[in-house]
Amino acid sequence: MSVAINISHGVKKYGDTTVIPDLSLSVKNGEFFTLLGPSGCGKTTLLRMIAGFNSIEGGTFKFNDTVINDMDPGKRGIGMVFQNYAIFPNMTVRKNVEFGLKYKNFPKDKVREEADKFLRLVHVDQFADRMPERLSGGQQQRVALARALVIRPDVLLMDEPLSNLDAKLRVEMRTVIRQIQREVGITTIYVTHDQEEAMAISDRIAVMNKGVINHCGTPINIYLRPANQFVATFIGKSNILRGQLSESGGKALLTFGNGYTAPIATVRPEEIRRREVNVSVRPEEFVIRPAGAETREGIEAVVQDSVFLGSNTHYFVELSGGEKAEIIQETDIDSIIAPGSKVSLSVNMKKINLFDSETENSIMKGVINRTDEQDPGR
Amino acid sequence: MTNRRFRLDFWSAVSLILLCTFLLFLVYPIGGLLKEAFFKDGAFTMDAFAQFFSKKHYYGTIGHSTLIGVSVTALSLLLGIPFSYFYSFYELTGKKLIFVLCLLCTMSAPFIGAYAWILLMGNSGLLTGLLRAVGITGVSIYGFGGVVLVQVLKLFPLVVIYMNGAFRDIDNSLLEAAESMGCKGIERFKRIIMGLTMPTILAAALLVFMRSFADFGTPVLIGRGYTTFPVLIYNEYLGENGADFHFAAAVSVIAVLVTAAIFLAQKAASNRFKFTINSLHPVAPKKPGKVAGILMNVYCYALLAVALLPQLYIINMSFRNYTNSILKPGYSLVNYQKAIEKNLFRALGNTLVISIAALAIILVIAVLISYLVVRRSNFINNLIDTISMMPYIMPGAVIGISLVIAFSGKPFSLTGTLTIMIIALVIRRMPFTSRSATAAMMKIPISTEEAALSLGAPRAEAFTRITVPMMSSGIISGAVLSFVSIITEMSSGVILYKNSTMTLTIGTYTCITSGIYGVAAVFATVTTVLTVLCLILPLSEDLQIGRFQCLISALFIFLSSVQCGRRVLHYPYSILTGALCTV
Repeated sequence: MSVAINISHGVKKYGDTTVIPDLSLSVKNGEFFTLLGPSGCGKTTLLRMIAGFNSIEGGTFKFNDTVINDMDPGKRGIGMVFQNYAIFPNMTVRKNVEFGLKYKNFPKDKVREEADKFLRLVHVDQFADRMPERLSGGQQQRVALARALVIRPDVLLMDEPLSNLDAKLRVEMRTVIRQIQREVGITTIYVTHDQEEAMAISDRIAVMNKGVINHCGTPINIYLRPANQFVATFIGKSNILRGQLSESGGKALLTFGNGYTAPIATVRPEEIRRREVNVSVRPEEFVIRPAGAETREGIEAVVQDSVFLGSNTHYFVELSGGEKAEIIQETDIDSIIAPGSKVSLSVNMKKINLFDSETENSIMKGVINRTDEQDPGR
Repeated sequence: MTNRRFRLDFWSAVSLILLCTFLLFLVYPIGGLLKEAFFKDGAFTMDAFAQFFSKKHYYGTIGHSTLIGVSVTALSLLLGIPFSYFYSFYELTGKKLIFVLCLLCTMSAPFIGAYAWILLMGNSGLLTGLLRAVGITGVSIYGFGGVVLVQVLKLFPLVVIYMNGAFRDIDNSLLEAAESMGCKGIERFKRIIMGLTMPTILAAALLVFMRSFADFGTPVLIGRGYTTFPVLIYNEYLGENGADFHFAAAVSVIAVLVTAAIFLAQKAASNRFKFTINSLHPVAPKKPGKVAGILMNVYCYALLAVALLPQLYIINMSFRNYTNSILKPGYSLVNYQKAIEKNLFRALGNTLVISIAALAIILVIAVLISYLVVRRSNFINNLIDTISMMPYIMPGAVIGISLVIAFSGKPFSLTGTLTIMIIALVIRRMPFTSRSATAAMMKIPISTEEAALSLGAPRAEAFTRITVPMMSSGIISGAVLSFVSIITEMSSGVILYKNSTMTLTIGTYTCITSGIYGVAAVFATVTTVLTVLCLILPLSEDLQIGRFQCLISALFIFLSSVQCGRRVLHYPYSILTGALCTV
């Protein structure tokens, strides 16, 4: 049986240092929810509070309607997968998986059968009688997953489970994890600092920084309409440029550093006024036109360097105002622009995001940032 | 980790029990010792200290002990560092054998070496006789030189074992980097290798000093007029006008002040050498040049031979015919018969009971302490850790005296029991075992235990089923060494024993002092054989040799030494003595 998780006003302190000041969050039954953030942002701390390995200094943590604040980890009905797998090195693979069943009053004669079932689910049944040290990292991680799932937990907690694997295996394993999670249909909280992994695997993501959830929403919304500048720069790559917003007949106009002005339709009406803004332009949202072609208005720039990466080419340019930016263009035949070339840039005005230059919060329409339950919208 | 209000869970209960245990068996006796030193008939007095500093006979002992400690430390480093350098950086013949022999040297009972040298170079010793035959007289093992010699031969292998670990941690690329900048040979040894191993050199130096400074067996047997402070404590305790606890306590306090000062000085010195090496490419031993190789082998094996052969000679002497202290020609088992009459089996039984009980208690407490310190670091647990480390700077004789003072009367009458001997040994060996247990615990990721908790295991069970098995490989070799040093322990036991609780080492000592040398040789032989067995059997797996082979080789060493003694030593010796008689 799977549960919904509800955290209201959670607080974590180490001595006098407050790590998580006030955090509220709801995770739906059966949802794959990811805590994403740079190291030290409090995501693992929060996960360990849910698991019961960290004490809770304030607020209520609930699984369905049960308050779990002071419950022993073993009684919360969690299954946990650790960053270093934490496979018991002194037991065989099968004994590892059987370990938890002993404490769940599972009928003794069915233990082996049940363990084998989950070993098959994660495809390590052929190694059942091996000692863990003779398994590769990916296999150990599968065993860890089987061990966490076999006790039929209400919640699956995963703490950077893939960060010790090599890049190729990481991609393979995240698909495995996602598949198994769907099959079992268990509420899952997943911690990672890898934004690509988070996007690929999650129903919803909470981007955390300094103990605060900055944006909680679907991968698509977080990428396209980040709630603030931190989220914009942490998820994917964003060039932050200075800009000036002005109003003309109820419509918004955006002026870039060198005077290039274009209308923008995606700003929230109440935010439209004359003001300084930070413009976040992702590298693929620039459009390059060689200078001097049919010169329309644009931001003037000089290409400083280019990196050819196969399907894409990255350009590093200096804008006429002195700002630097990175641009990604699809590679075309004979189209690589030589360093030193002057170009004119325009931007995809539908996609760019504007942030208040002081608060760095988004002033765009379509930002969905809610920490309570909602439809994932997928 | 927790900010929660104090909750009495499994581990808090363990904390409290350990704290009470240490308060009772360590802090209370030390308090008693201080009270005894500073109070007489209920009034504060410094008269014992005044008495100590009034006579050279008294205050000289601290000087003697310190001088011996410093000399032994310096010489052990001088002999041990080159030995270990050859051993770690070059391919020598029979490396494993060298390592086992080093271990045997340093783990043998402290005073058996001294007794062996008496048999060789005492007034009627083998070598003394030989030298006298060629006209050299005046060479004697007794006094300062003898004590230093015996202790150095026992302690230099300790430096070798320590330094070997440090040398293996050196990253080869550091040496290559030095060489690429033109720093080679002796220069490189001095500037790079010594520098990198300085923390270990200092640690080894401290250990050697503490052992040498606190040694009772060697100076009491061959010190003669050169009295050291453990001997003084013992003499005052066994004084002719009854035990003078007051003075013995004062001497103990002064001794601990000296060791504490040395300990702090060492700490200050090693604080200047704090760094870590990431040893990705350990140095692979090289093949030495032909001449150099022979010289290195000769150096290592000759040193080990000088250190070990005398002890084998004791085994030979245990089969010789003796009438009390007079050596008679011929071999027989008469000494063994007499030894059995002198309760050899009871001593053996006592030794085994004490060692096994002490080791079991030490292991349990050390593992618990290591868990509390690493996983549950808080004020009380750190306090327990600090208290448990205190015996590191307390010489065995001091621990013996404090326990006698604390537990000789009501409410705890323990003197003369096996219990108090076990307590003494637990206290003595605790710091070493708890350190190695803490190191082992630090290597275990906390998540393994949390995994067990998350799967529903209770805390105590997660600890016993997961954590302890994971630690065991890390603490087993330490436990073996502790076990052997408990078997060969003497300095605290000699104060605490009575006839019914006599151990093998104390049996040896009492036989020597009452002049029945043959029986003493039997006791010493049994101790040595037990030591060898205890060392080699459990370590055989590490050394990658079969257990059976070990048993065979241990027996072989024993038998061959007897044979050697008969054929090689006996005949020239009897010819020589015969020749001397005819002259």
